[in-house]
Amino acid sequence: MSKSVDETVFDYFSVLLAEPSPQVEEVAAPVPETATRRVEVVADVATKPKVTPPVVAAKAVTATVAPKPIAAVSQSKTVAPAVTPAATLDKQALERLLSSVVADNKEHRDAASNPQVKAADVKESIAKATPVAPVSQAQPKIVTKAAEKIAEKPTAAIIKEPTIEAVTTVAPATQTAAVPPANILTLAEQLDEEFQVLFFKVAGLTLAVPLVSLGGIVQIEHINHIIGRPKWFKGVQTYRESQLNVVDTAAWVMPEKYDEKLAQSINYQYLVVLENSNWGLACETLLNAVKINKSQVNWRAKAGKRPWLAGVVKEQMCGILHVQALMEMLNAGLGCQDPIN
Amino acid sequence: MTESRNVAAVAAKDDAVLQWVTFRLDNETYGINVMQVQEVLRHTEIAPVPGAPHYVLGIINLRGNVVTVIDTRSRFGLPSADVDDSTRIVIIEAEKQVIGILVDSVAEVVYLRRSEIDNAPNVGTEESAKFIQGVSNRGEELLILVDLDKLLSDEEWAELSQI
Repeated sequence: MSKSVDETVFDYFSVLLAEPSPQVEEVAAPVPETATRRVEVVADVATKPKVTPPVVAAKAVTATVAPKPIAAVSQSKTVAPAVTPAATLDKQALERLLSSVVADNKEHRDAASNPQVKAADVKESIAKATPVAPVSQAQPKIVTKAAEKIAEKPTAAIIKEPTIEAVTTVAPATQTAAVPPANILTLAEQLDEEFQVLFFKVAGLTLAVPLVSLGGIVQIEHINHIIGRPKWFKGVQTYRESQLNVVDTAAWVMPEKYDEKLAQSINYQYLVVLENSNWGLACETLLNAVKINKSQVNWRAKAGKRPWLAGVVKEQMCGILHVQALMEMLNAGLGCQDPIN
Repeated sequence: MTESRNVAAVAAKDDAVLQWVTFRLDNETYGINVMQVQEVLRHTEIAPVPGAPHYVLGIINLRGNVVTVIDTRSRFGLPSADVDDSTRIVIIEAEKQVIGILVDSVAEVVYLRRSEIDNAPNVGTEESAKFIQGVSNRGEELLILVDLDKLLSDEEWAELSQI
Protein backbone atom coordinates (compact mmCIF):
# COMPACT_ATOMS: atom_id res chain seq x y z
CA MET A 1 0.00 0.00 0.00
CA SER A 2 1.38 3.37 -0.91
CA LYS A 3 1.89 6.01 1.68
CA SER A 4 -0.69 8.24 0.09
CA VAL A 5 -3.34 5.58 0.48
CA ASP A 6 -2.43 5.16 4.14
CA GLU A 7 -2.80 8.83 4.63
CA THR A 8 -6.08 8.76 2.82
CA VAL A 9 -7.45 6.10 5.12
CA PHE A 10 -6.13 7.80 8.20
CA ASP A 11 -7.57 11.14 7.19
CA TYR A 12 -10.87 9.55 6.34
CA PHE A 13 -11.43 7.92 9.66
CA SER A 14 -10.07 10.90 11.51
CA VAL A 15 -12.89 12.86 9.98
CA LEU A 16 -15.41 10.17 10.82
CA LEU A 17 -14.39 9.95 14.42
CA ALA A 18 -14.17 13.68 14.81
CA GLU A 19 -17.82 14.24 14.03
CA PRO A 20 -19.49 15.42 17.23
CA SER A 21 -22.34 13.42 18.75
CA PRO A 22 -25.12 15.45 20.29
CA GLN A 23 -26.42 14.80 23.77
CA VAL A 24 -29.54 12.75 23.41
CA GLU A 25 -32.11 11.25 25.68
CA GLU A 26 -32.07 7.54 26.20
CA VAL A 27 -35.31 5.80 25.44
CA ALA A 28 -36.24 2.27 24.54
CA ALA A 29 -36.14 2.46 20.79
CA PRO A 30 -38.09 -0.05 18.71
CA VAL A 31 -36.32 -2.53 16.54
CA PRO A 32 -37.25 -2.21 12.89
CA GLU A 33 -37.92 -4.96 10.51
CA THR A 34 -35.34 -5.48 7.85
CA ALA A 35 -35.75 -6.41 4.25
CA THR A 36 -35.67 -9.98 3.07
CA ARG A 37 -32.12 -11.12 2.66
CA ARG A 38 -30.57 -13.18 -0.03
CA VAL A 39 -28.82 -15.86 1.87
CA GLU A 40 -27.79 -18.05 -0.99
CA VAL A 41 -24.24 -16.86 -1.02
CA VAL A 42 -23.96 -17.12 2.68
CA ALA A 43 -25.21 -20.64 2.29
CA ASP A 44 -22.36 -21.21 -0.09
CA VAL A 45 -20.06 -20.42 2.75
CA ALA A 46 -21.27 -23.49 4.49
CA THR A 47 -21.33 -25.69 1.44
CA LYS A 48 -18.00 -24.63 0.04
CA PRO A 49 -15.67 -24.50 2.99
CA LYS A 50 -12.71 -25.45 0.81
CA VAL A 51 -12.51 -22.05 -0.81
CA THR A 52 -11.15 -20.53 2.36
CA PRO A 53 -7.49 -21.03 3.02
CA PRO A 54 -7.29 -22.80 6.34
CA VAL A 55 -4.06 -21.22 7.54
CA VAL A 56 -5.22 -17.66 7.19
CA ALA A 57 -8.62 -18.52 8.51
CA ALA A 58 -7.29 -20.14 11.63
CA LYS A 59 -5.63 -16.90 12.57
CA ALA A 60 -8.75 -14.96 11.99
CA VAL A 61 -10.66 -16.53 14.86
CA THR A 62 -8.32 -15.29 17.49
CA ALA A 63 -9.47 -12.71 19.94
CA THR A 64 -7.91 -9.90 18.02
CA VAL A 65 -10.40 -10.47 15.19
CA ALA A 66 -8.13 -8.51 12.92
CA PRO A 67 -8.95 -8.73 9.20
CA LYS A 68 -6.61 -11.00 7.31
CA PRO A 69 -6.30 -11.00 3.55
CA ILE A 70 -7.71 -13.95 1.76
CA ALA A 71 -5.13 -15.84 -0.20
CA ALA A 72 -7.45 -17.26 -2.78
CA VAL A 73 -11.08 -17.05 -3.67
CA SER A 74 -13.14 -19.33 -5.82
CA GLN A 75 -13.34 -18.36 -9.45
CA SER A 76 -17.01 -19.16 -9.63
CA LYS A 77 -19.43 -16.35 -10.37
CA THR A 78 -20.71 -16.34 -6.84
CA VAL A 79 -18.02 -16.70 -4.29
CA ALA A 80 -18.44 -17.05 -0.62
CA PRO A 81 -17.37 -14.38 1.77
CA ALA A 82 -14.16 -15.42 3.38
CA VAL A 83 -15.47 -16.93 6.53
CA THR A 84 -12.99 -18.62 8.75
CA PRO A 85 -13.48 -22.37 9.17
CA ALA A 86 -14.09 -22.08 12.86
CA ALA A 87 -16.51 -19.29 12.30
CA THR A 88 -18.19 -21.06 9.42
CA LEU A 89 -21.75 -21.97 10.16
CA ASP A 90 -23.68 -24.74 8.58
CA LYS A 91 -26.49 -23.67 6.31
CA GLN A 92 -29.32 -24.45 8.69
CA ALA A 93 -27.65 -22.72 11.54
CA LEU A 94 -27.03 -19.67 9.43
CA GLU A 95 -30.61 -19.60 8.22
CA ARG A 96 -31.73 -19.73 11.82
CA LEU A 97 -29.35 -16.93 12.57
CA LEU A 98 -30.80 -14.83 9.81
CA SER A 99 -34.40 -15.85 10.40
CA SER A 100 -35.08 -12.99 12.72
CA VAL A 101 -34.09 -10.41 10.19
CA VAL A 102 -35.58 -11.81 7.03
CA ALA A 103 -39.13 -10.84 7.88
CA ASP A 104 -40.93 -9.14 5.06
CA ASN A 105 -40.64 -5.43 4.90
CA LYS A 106 -42.73 -4.73 1.88
CA GLU A 107 -42.42 -1.05 2.21
CA HIS A 108 -38.69 -1.18 2.18
CA ARG A 109 -38.58 -3.61 -0.72
CA ASP A 110 -40.81 -1.37 -2.74
CA ALA A 111 -38.54 1.54 -2.11
CA ALA A 112 -35.52 -0.50 -2.99
CA SER A 113 -37.01 -1.79 -6.20
CA ASN A 114 -38.28 1.56 -7.32
CA PRO A 115 -35.49 3.28 -9.18
CA GLN A 116 -37.23 6.60 -9.13
CA VAL A 117 -37.14 7.19 -5.44
CA LYS A 118 -36.85 10.85 -4.70
CA ALA A 119 -34.78 12.33 -1.96
CA ALA A 120 -37.84 13.38 -0.02
CA ASP A 121 -39.18 9.85 -0.24
CA VAL A 122 -35.97 8.55 1.17
CA LYS A 123 -36.33 10.58 4.28
CA GLU A 124 -39.97 9.70 4.65
CA SER A 125 -39.55 5.98 4.11
CA ILE A 126 -36.72 5.71 6.54
CA ALA A 127 -38.77 7.54 9.12
CA LYS A 128 -41.46 4.89 8.75
CA ALA A 129 -39.30 2.07 10.05
CA THR A 130 -41.73 -0.40 11.55
CA PRO A 131 -40.92 -1.68 15.02
CA VAL A 132 -40.97 -5.42 15.65
CA ALA A 133 -40.15 -7.71 18.50
CA PRO A 134 -36.55 -7.68 19.65
CA VAL A 135 -34.29 -9.64 17.37
CA SER A 136 -32.96 -11.78 20.14
CA GLN A 137 -36.43 -13.17 20.75
CA ALA A 138 -36.49 -15.13 17.52
CA GLN A 139 -32.83 -15.69 17.10
CA PRO A 140 -31.31 -18.88 18.39
CA LYS A 141 -27.87 -18.75 19.85
CA ILE A 142 -25.38 -20.53 17.69
CA VAL A 143 -22.29 -21.54 19.51
CA THR A 144 -19.32 -22.27 17.36
CA LYS A 145 -15.71 -22.71 18.18
CA ALA A 146 -15.05 -19.28 16.82
CA ALA A 147 -17.72 -17.79 18.99
CA GLU A 148 -16.38 -19.58 22.03
CA LYS A 149 -12.90 -18.37 21.36
CA ILE A 150 -14.04 -14.84 20.83
CA ALA A 151 -16.04 -15.01 24.02
CA GLU A 152 -13.15 -16.45 25.98
CA LYS A 153 -10.71 -13.86 24.73
CA PRO A 154 -12.43 -10.53 24.63
CA THR A 155 -10.47 -7.82 22.94
CA ALA A 156 -8.67 -5.27 24.98
CA ALA A 157 -10.11 -2.56 22.83
CA ILE A 158 -13.53 -2.74 24.44
CA ILE A 159 -13.92 0.55 26.17
CA LYS A 160 -17.52 1.11 27.00
CA GLU A 161 -21.03 0.02 26.26
CA PRO A 162 -22.33 1.02 22.84
CA THR A 163 -24.31 4.17 22.61
CA ILE A 164 -27.74 2.98 21.61
CA GLU A 165 -30.04 5.84 22.26
CA ALA A 166 -32.96 7.03 20.27
CA VAL A 167 -32.56 10.62 19.30
CA THR A 168 -35.70 12.41 20.29
CA THR A 169 -34.47 15.83 21.14
CA VAL A 170 -32.35 16.65 18.13
CA ALA A 171 -33.87 19.57 16.36
CA PRO A 172 -34.68 18.91 12.71
CA ALA A 173 -33.14 22.23 11.82
CA THR A 174 -29.72 20.80 12.49
CA GLN A 175 -30.34 17.84 10.17
CA THR A 176 -29.56 19.75 7.08
CA ALA A 177 -28.67 16.78 4.95
CA ALA A 178 -29.62 13.76 6.87
CA VAL A 179 -31.96 10.87 7.22
CA PRO A 180 -33.67 10.90 10.61
CA PRO A 181 -31.18 9.48 13.09
CA ALA A 182 -33.66 7.02 14.51
CA ASN A 183 -33.00 4.89 11.49
CA ILE A 184 -29.32 4.66 12.18
CA LEU A 185 -29.91 3.61 15.73
CA THR A 186 -32.13 0.82 14.63
CA LEU A 187 -29.22 -0.84 12.91
CA ALA A 188 -27.56 -1.38 16.25
CA GLU A 189 -30.82 -2.51 17.73
CA GLN A 190 -31.75 -4.92 15.01
CA LEU A 191 -28.48 -6.73 15.44
CA ASP A 192 -27.83 -9.28 18.13
CA GLU A 193 -25.39 -8.53 20.87
CA GLU A 194 -22.98 -10.58 18.82
CA PHE A 195 -23.16 -10.44 15.06
CA GLN A 196 -21.03 -11.29 12.10
CA VAL A 197 -19.52 -8.77 9.76
CA LEU A 198 -17.62 -9.11 6.53
CA PHE A 199 -14.61 -6.90 6.10
CA PHE A 200 -13.62 -5.79 2.63
CA LYS A 201 -11.09 -3.38 1.32
CA VAL A 202 -11.22 -0.58 -1.22
CA ALA A 203 -8.23 1.61 -2.04
CA GLY A 204 -6.67 0.87 1.31
CA LEU A 205 -9.90 1.61 3.10
CA THR A 206 -11.47 -1.21 5.09
CA LEU A 207 -15.22 -1.34 5.39
CA ALA A 208 -17.47 -3.73 7.25
CA VAL A 209 -20.92 -4.93 6.33
CA PRO A 210 -23.12 -6.99 8.66
CA LEU A 211 -23.65 -10.45 7.20
CA VAL A 212 -27.38 -10.10 7.68
CA SER A 213 -27.25 -7.21 5.21
CA LEU A 214 -25.10 -9.06 2.70
CA GLY A 215 -26.91 -10.13 -0.43
CA GLY A 216 -23.99 -11.95 -1.92
CA ILE A 217 -20.51 -11.70 -3.34
CA VAL A 218 -20.14 -11.62 -7.10
CA GLN A 219 -16.91 -11.68 -8.98
CA ILE A 220 -16.47 -8.74 -11.31
CA GLU A 221 -16.31 -9.83 -14.91
CA HIS A 222 -17.46 -7.33 -17.48
CA ILE A 223 -18.93 -4.02 -16.47
CA ASN A 224 -20.90 -2.13 -19.08
CA HIS A 225 -20.47 1.59 -18.84
CA ILE A 226 -23.73 3.50 -19.05
CA ILE A 227 -23.36 7.08 -20.21
CA GLY A 228 -24.73 10.00 -18.29
CA ARG A 229 -24.42 8.44 -14.88
CA PRO A 230 -22.64 9.87 -11.85
CA LYS A 231 -18.94 9.30 -11.53
CA TRP A 232 -19.47 6.79 -8.76
CA PHE A 233 -21.76 4.69 -10.95
CA LYS A 234 -19.31 2.32 -12.56
CA GLY A 235 -21.84 0.62 -14.78
CA VAL A 236 -23.87 -2.55 -14.83
CA GLN A 237 -22.84 -6.16 -14.78
CA THR A 238 -25.09 -8.89 -16.01
CA TYR A 239 -25.74 -11.40 -13.29
CA ARG A 240 -28.30 -14.18 -13.46
CA GLU A 241 -30.15 -12.55 -16.35
CA SER A 242 -30.47 -9.24 -14.59
CA GLN A 243 -28.24 -6.26 -14.09
CA LEU A 244 -26.29 -5.40 -11.01
CA ASN A 245 -25.60 -1.71 -10.61
CA VAL A 246 -21.93 -1.43 -9.82
CA VAL A 247 -20.90 1.29 -7.41
CA ASP A 248 -17.35 2.57 -7.58
CA THR A 249 -17.03 2.36 -3.83
CA ALA A 250 -13.94 4.53 -3.55
CA ALA A 251 -15.56 7.24 -5.64
CA TRP A 252 -18.73 7.06 -3.59
CA VAL A 253 -17.22 6.87 -0.12
CA MET A 254 -14.36 9.32 -0.51
CA PRO A 255 -15.04 11.51 -3.53
CA GLU A 256 -12.76 14.19 -2.15
CA LYS A 257 -9.80 11.83 -2.40
CA TYR A 258 -10.83 10.22 -5.63
CA ASP A 259 -8.71 11.45 -8.49
CA GLU A 260 -7.39 9.97 -11.69
CA LYS A 261 -4.31 8.57 -9.97
CA LEU A 262 -6.34 6.81 -7.30
CA ALA A 263 -8.82 5.56 -9.87
CA GLN A 264 -6.08 3.91 -11.88
CA SER A 265 -4.55 2.31 -8.83
CA ILE A 266 -7.72 0.51 -7.85
CA ASN A 267 -8.21 -3.04 -9.04
CA TYR A 268 -11.77 -4.03 -8.29
CA GLN A 269 -12.33 -7.76 -7.99
CA TYR A 270 -15.67 -8.38 -6.33
CA LEU A 271 -19.08 -6.91 -5.82
CA VAL A 272 -20.57 -6.85 -2.35
CA VAL A 273 -24.28 -7.09 -3.11
CA LEU A 274 -26.49 -5.15 -0.74
CA GLU A 275 -29.32 -7.19 0.74
CA ASN A 276 -31.86 -8.13 -1.91
CA SER A 277 -31.16 -5.11 -4.06
CA ASN A 278 -29.41 -4.90 -7.39
CA TRP A 279 -26.69 -2.69 -5.96
CA GLY A 280 -23.17 -4.00 -5.65
CA LEU A 281 -20.26 -2.25 -3.99
CA ALA A 282 -17.07 -2.88 -5.91
CA CYS A 283 -14.20 -3.95 -3.70
CA GLU A 284 -10.62 -4.97 -4.20
CA THR A 285 -10.19 -7.54 -1.49
CA LEU A 286 -12.41 -9.59 0.75
CA LEU A 287 -10.76 -9.85 4.11
CA ASN A 288 -12.71 -12.06 6.46
CA ALA A 289 -15.96 -12.48 8.29
CA VAL A 290 -15.81 -12.42 12.04
CA LYS A 291 -18.25 -12.33 14.89
CA ILE A 292 -18.03 -9.15 16.86
CA ASN A 293 -19.81 -7.71 19.82
CA LYS A 294 -21.88 -4.56 19.71
CA SER A 295 -19.55 -3.02 22.25
CA GLN A 296 -16.75 -3.34 19.75
CA VAL A 297 -18.45 -0.78 17.55
CA ASN A 298 -18.50 2.90 18.22
CA TRP A 299 -22.07 3.47 17.05
CA ARG A 300 -22.90 6.85 15.66
CA ALA A 301 -25.65 8.41 17.71
CA LYS A 302 -26.63 10.77 14.95
CA ALA A 303 -27.05 10.04 11.29
CA GLY A 304 -25.49 13.36 10.38
CA LYS A 305 -24.41 13.75 6.83
CA ARG A 306 -23.53 10.08 6.54
CA PRO A 307 -26.60 8.01 7.30
CA TRP A 308 -24.92 5.13 5.45
CA LEU A 309 -22.26 4.91 8.14
CA ALA A 310 -23.62 3.15 11.22
CA GLY A 311 -20.43 3.39 13.21
CA VAL A 312 -16.80 2.47 13.40
CA VAL A 313 -15.44 -0.91 14.42
CA LYS A 314 -12.91 0.05 17.04
CA GLU A 315 -10.47 -2.81 16.65
CA GLN A 316 -10.16 -2.54 12.89
CA MET A 317 -10.79 1.19 12.80
CA CYS A 318 -13.11 0.74 9.89
CA GLY A 319 -16.57 1.97 9.08
CA ILE A 320 -19.53 -0.36 9.39
CA LEU A 321 -22.19 0.22 6.77
CA HIS A 322 -25.86 0.83 7.38
CA VAL A 323 -26.89 -1.02 4.27
CA GLN A 324 -30.52 0.05 4.23
CA ALA A 325 -29.67 3.73 4.43
CA LEU A 326 -27.00 3.23 1.81
CA MET A 327 -29.47 1.53 -0.51
CA GLU A 328 -31.93 4.36 -0.07
CA MET A 329 -29.30 6.87 -1.05
CA LEU A 330 -28.19 4.84 -4.06
CA ASN A 331 -31.76 4.36 -5.22
CA ALA A 332 -32.19 8.11 -5.06
CA GLY A 333 -29.02 8.60 -7.07
CA LEU A 334 -27.32 10.35 -4.20
CA GLY A 335 -23.61 10.40 -3.72
CA CYS A 336 -21.87 10.30 -0.37
CA GLN A 337 -21.81 14.05 -0.03
CA ASP A 338 -25.09 14.88 -1.70
CA PRO A 339 -27.66 16.44 0.60
CA ILE A 340 -30.75 14.31 1.04
CA ASN A 341 -33.10 17.23 1.51
CA MET B 1 -61.74 -19.74 -23.66
CA THR B 2 -62.23 -17.02 -26.23
CA GLU B 3 -61.41 -14.43 -23.66
CA SER B 4 -58.14 -16.11 -22.76
CA ARG B 5 -57.24 -16.25 -26.43
CA ASN B 6 -57.92 -12.55 -26.74
CA VAL B 7 -55.74 -11.83 -23.73
CA ALA B 8 -52.95 -13.89 -25.26
CA ALA B 9 -53.34 -12.09 -28.56
CA VAL B 10 -53.17 -8.70 -26.89
CA ALA B 11 -50.10 -9.77 -24.93
CA ALA B 12 -48.44 -10.98 -28.10
CA LYS B 13 -49.29 -7.73 -29.82
CA ASP B 14 -47.85 -5.71 -26.94
CA ASP B 15 -44.71 -7.80 -27.03
CA ALA B 16 -43.87 -6.65 -30.52
CA VAL B 17 -40.53 -7.43 -32.09
CA LEU B 18 -38.40 -4.39 -32.83
CA GLN B 19 -35.30 -4.22 -34.97
CA TRP B 20 -32.26 -2.35 -33.81
CA VAL B 21 -29.12 -1.38 -35.68
CA THR B 22 -26.22 -1.89 -33.34
CA PHE B 23 -23.01 0.08 -33.31
CA ARG B 24 -19.93 0.18 -31.14
CA LEU B 25 -18.69 3.16 -29.24
CA ASP B 26 -15.90 3.01 -26.69
CA ASN B 27 -16.19 -0.76 -26.18
CA GLU B 28 -19.92 -0.65 -25.59
CA THR B 29 -22.67 -1.75 -27.95
CA TYR B 30 -25.53 0.62 -28.63
CA GLY B 31 -28.74 0.08 -30.55
CA ILE B 32 -30.87 2.50 -32.52
CA ASN B 33 -34.27 1.88 -34.04
CA VAL B 34 -33.82 0.51 -37.53
CA MET B 35 -36.73 2.60 -38.76
CA GLN B 36 -34.71 5.73 -38.11
CA VAL B 37 -31.64 4.55 -39.97
CA GLN B 38 -31.40 5.55 -43.61
CA GLU B 39 -27.98 4.30 -44.51
CA VAL B 40 -24.50 3.61 -43.22
CA LEU B 41 -21.47 5.27 -44.81
CA ARG B 42 -17.78 4.71 -44.56
CA HIS B 43 -15.93 7.59 -43.05
CA THR B 44 -15.51 10.39 -45.50
CA GLU B 45 -14.12 13.85 -45.29
CA ILE B 46 -16.16 15.99 -42.94
CA ALA B 47 -15.99 19.70 -43.62
CA PRO B 48 -15.91 21.70 -40.41
CA VAL B 49 -18.42 24.48 -40.01
CA PRO B 50 -17.12 27.65 -38.36
CA GLY B 51 -19.24 28.69 -35.42
CA ALA B 52 -21.08 25.41 -35.23
CA PRO B 53 -21.97 23.94 -31.83
CA HIS B 54 -19.27 21.84 -30.18
CA TYR B 55 -21.16 18.62 -30.78
CA VAL B 56 -21.16 19.17 -34.55
CA LEU B 57 -18.20 17.68 -36.35
CA GLY B 58 -19.12 19.27 -39.64
CA ILE B 59 -21.01 18.55 -42.82
CA ILE B 60 -20.77 16.03 -45.62
CA ASN B 61 -22.14 16.00 -49.11
CA LEU B 62 -24.49 13.08 -49.51
CA ARG B 63 -25.51 12.84 -53.14
CA GLY B 64 -25.98 16.57 -53.37
CA ASN B 65 -27.55 17.01 -49.96
CA VAL B 66 -25.72 18.60 -47.07
CA VAL B 67 -25.87 16.43 -43.96
CA THR B 68 -24.65 17.54 -40.57
CA VAL B 69 -22.52 15.02 -38.71
CA ILE B 70 -22.71 14.81 -34.93
CA ASP B 71 -19.74 13.90 -32.74
CA THR B 72 -21.41 11.04 -30.93
CA ARG B 73 -18.54 10.44 -28.54
CA SER B 74 -18.62 14.04 -27.44
CA ARG B 75 -22.36 13.90 -27.10
CA PHE B 76 -22.15 10.81 -24.95
CA GLY B 77 -19.40 12.29 -22.80
CA LEU B 78 -16.84 9.81 -24.04
CA PRO B 79 -13.22 10.55 -24.88
CA SER B 80 -12.43 11.18 -28.52
CA ALA B 81 -10.83 8.48 -30.63
CA ASP B 82 -8.97 8.34 -33.89
CA VAL B 83 -10.80 7.51 -37.06
CA ASP B 84 -9.94 4.08 -38.42
CA ASP B 85 -11.08 1.68 -41.09
CA SER B 86 -14.15 0.58 -39.16
CA THR B 87 -15.41 4.08 -38.41
CA ARG B 88 -18.82 4.71 -39.89
CA ILE B 89 -21.27 7.56 -40.33
CA VAL B 90 -24.81 6.40 -39.70
CA ILE B 91 -27.36 8.53 -41.48
CA ILE B 92 -30.47 8.77 -39.35
CA GLU B 93 -33.73 10.64 -39.33
CA ALA B 94 -34.87 12.13 -36.07
CA GLU B 95 -37.13 15.03 -35.26
CA LYS B 96 -37.82 15.39 -38.99
CA GLN B 97 -34.17 16.05 -39.71
CA VAL B 98 -31.56 13.93 -41.42
CA ILE B 99 -28.23 13.91 -39.68
CA GLY B 100 -25.19 11.69 -39.46
CA ILE B 101 -23.72 10.25 -36.30
CA LEU B 102 -20.09 9.17 -36.18
CA VAL B 103 -19.58 5.78 -34.55
CA ASP B 104 -16.63 3.44 -34.05
CA SER B 105 -18.23 0.67 -36.09
CA VAL B 106 -21.57 -0.74 -37.09
CA ALA B 107 -22.23 -4.31 -36.07
CA GLU B 108 -25.55 -5.84 -37.07
CA VAL B 109 -29.33 -5.65 -36.94
CA VAL B 110 -30.85 -7.42 -33.96
CA TYR B 111 -34.41 -8.37 -33.16
CA LEU B 112 -35.70 -7.65 -29.69
CA ARG B 113 -39.09 -8.17 -28.13
CA ARG B 114 -40.34 -5.31 -26.01
CA SER B 115 -40.33 -7.65 -23.05
CA GLU B 116 -36.61 -8.16 -23.51
CA ILE B 117 -35.91 -4.49 -22.93
CA ASP B 118 -35.20 -3.41 -19.37
CA ASN B 119 -35.10 0.04 -17.93
CA ALA B 120 -31.70 1.61 -17.64
CA PRO B 121 -30.48 2.38 -14.12
CA ASN B 122 -32.18 5.62 -13.26
CA VAL B 123 -29.46 7.35 -11.35
CA GLY B 124 -28.34 9.67 -14.06
CA THR B 125 -28.14 13.34 -13.45
CA GLU B 126 -26.24 14.34 -16.52
CA GLU B 127 -27.91 15.43 -19.70
CA SER B 128 -26.71 12.38 -21.58
CA ALA B 129 -28.61 10.12 -19.20
CA LYS B 130 -31.82 10.80 -21.09
CA PHE B 131 -30.44 9.35 -24.32
CA ILE B 132 -30.76 5.85 -22.97
CA GLN B 133 -34.20 4.38 -23.33
CA GLY B 134 -33.35 0.92 -22.11
CA VAL B 135 -30.93 -1.96 -22.00
CA SER B 136 -31.16 -5.53 -23.10
CA ASN B 137 -29.12 -8.60 -22.34
CA ARG B 138 -27.89 -10.49 -25.36
CA GLY B 139 -25.92 -13.41 -24.04
CA GLU B 140 -22.82 -12.03 -22.43
CA GLU B 141 -23.35 -8.64 -24.00
CA LEU B 142 -25.42 -5.72 -22.84
CA LEU B 143 -27.09 -3.72 -25.58
CA ILE B 144 -27.74 -0.10 -24.69
CA LEU B 145 -30.69 1.30 -26.61
CA VAL B 146 -30.51 4.93 -27.62
CA ASP B 147 -33.46 7.25 -28.11
CA LEU B 148 -32.29 9.28 -31.09
CA ASP B 149 -35.04 11.87 -30.71
CA LYS B 150 -33.52 12.83 -27.37
CA LEU B 151 -30.00 12.99 -28.68
CA LEU B 152 -30.45 16.73 -28.91
CA SER B 153 -32.73 19.12 -27.12
CA ASP B 154 -35.46 21.00 -28.98
CA GLU B 155 -33.26 24.08 -29.09
CA GLU B 156 -30.35 22.08 -30.41
CA TRP B 157 -32.46 20.45 -33.11
CA ALA B 158 -33.62 23.92 -34.13
CA GLU B 159 -30.05 25.16 -34.08
CA LEU B 160 -28.98 22.24 -36.22
CA SER B 161 -31.53 23.03 -38.86
CA GLN B 162 -29.95 26.46 -39.30
CA ILE B 163 -26.53 25.12 -40.19
